[in-house]
Amino acid sequence: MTKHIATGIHGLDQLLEGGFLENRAILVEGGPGTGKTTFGLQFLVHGAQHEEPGILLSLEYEPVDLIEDMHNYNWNAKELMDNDQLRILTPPGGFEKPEEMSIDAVINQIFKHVNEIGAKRLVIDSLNSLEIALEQKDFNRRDLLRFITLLRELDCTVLLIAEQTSEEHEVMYSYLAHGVIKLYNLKRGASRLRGIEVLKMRGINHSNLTHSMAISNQTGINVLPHEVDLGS
Amino acid sequence: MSADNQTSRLLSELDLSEYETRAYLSVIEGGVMVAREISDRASIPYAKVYQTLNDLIEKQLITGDEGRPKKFRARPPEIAINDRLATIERNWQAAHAKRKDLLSKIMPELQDLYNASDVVEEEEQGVWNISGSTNINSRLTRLVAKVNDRIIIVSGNYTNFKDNFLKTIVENTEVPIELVVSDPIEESEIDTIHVVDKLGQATTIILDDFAMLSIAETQKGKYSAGEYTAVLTQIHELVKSFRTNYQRMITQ
Repeated sequence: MTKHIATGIHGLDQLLEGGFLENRAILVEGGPGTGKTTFGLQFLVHGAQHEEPGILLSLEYEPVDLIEDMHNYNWNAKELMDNDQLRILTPPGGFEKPEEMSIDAVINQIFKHVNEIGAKRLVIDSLNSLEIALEQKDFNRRDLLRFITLLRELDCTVLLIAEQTSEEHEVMYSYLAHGVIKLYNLKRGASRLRGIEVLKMRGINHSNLTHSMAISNQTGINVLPHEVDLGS
Repeated sequence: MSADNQTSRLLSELDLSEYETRAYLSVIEGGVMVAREISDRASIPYAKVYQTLNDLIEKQLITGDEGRPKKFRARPPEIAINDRLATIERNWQAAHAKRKDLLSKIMPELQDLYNASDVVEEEEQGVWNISGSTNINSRLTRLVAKVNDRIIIVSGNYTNFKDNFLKTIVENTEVPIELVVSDPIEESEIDTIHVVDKLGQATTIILDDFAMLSIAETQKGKYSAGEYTAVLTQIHELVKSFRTNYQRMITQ
């Protein structure tokens, strides 16, 4: 029987019969400011603190900013990185002048680091940025399936973070992932409402509600048991 | 035990790439393995190893389970290699049959082009070397068909000649055939047999007085079966002079 692994997101495991299924690929998607990167970091930090080292392929944010963000959430990122429980990989050439990458080079780079620290968790932030960075411009469903399969073959649970873009992209991403989690941050009147919805999670009898969600400076993302009405 | 270079080289006979060979040897030695272990052990880039292993499954040398991560193991080599050889043979036969079929479709066209050309006349000008019994028989067929009077065969190695070329002559002509040999023989296919001393190892065929073909068996090498090579001349004066010589030999 496949093992459940704790997501590290407070309140989410209760909606998933105990967490993600180990060694699956889960898509986390949402618009800007919905907490996708925080979700990924929290997932990695939780694993790193529980002997499940993790790797983040960050194609959008500099490690220094991410470390600072994690520091703000009281997550000991620096220590975890020093102890090889957490690694942040960035595009070759840096963010200012990123070089075009081949998908094989990305896979080989991830493989090297996964082997070095025995990683069990992987976060790709984000699929959209990865596509942009790739020299191969017609990255299609088959390439993506191969990418996901090779990451799963590394014996890792994989979070694929994706910006909501075209419907076509969304369908492709969701189709290939075992699970899809949607994050919302919608303006309602004078305030904004955060929500989280488990759209699909194969093998798990998950909650079908859109739950209220909060991001606190102290604990990161908290999923609340009640439903949130995001309106139309 | 690690496989040596010779083993790797010989595995290429199974139509395996360099990566496939390395991955296969790793799985044979390592037992049950996952892709990342094979990538490490065989020094194959991780991005390539999965495809390589899938190709080895396709080639019937290893099996993979349906788990994640997928586990790979080698099939018993004796069974796997025989299955692989049988597949290669089947594929080759299918490809060859297809090739043959395709070429047979253009054969008449090629033959027409050949017949329409002046190749034959050009050849009459010189002395030609023909290699291999297939080519010799093919040329003999065309030459024999042009004979009006008679064919003289002078053979110092009649058994070999009979086995390889006599049929071509007999089946393509109605004219009388004379045979000159060094030992008495019985041969129903031949009209007249002359026995003379001291003939060399070659066989010479004189066709009227327009062509002469001398066939000799090339030396058998350590690794090759003997083949035949022939010298053809259609220089009229030369053929006539040889024919006169042999006639003199017969009448002596």
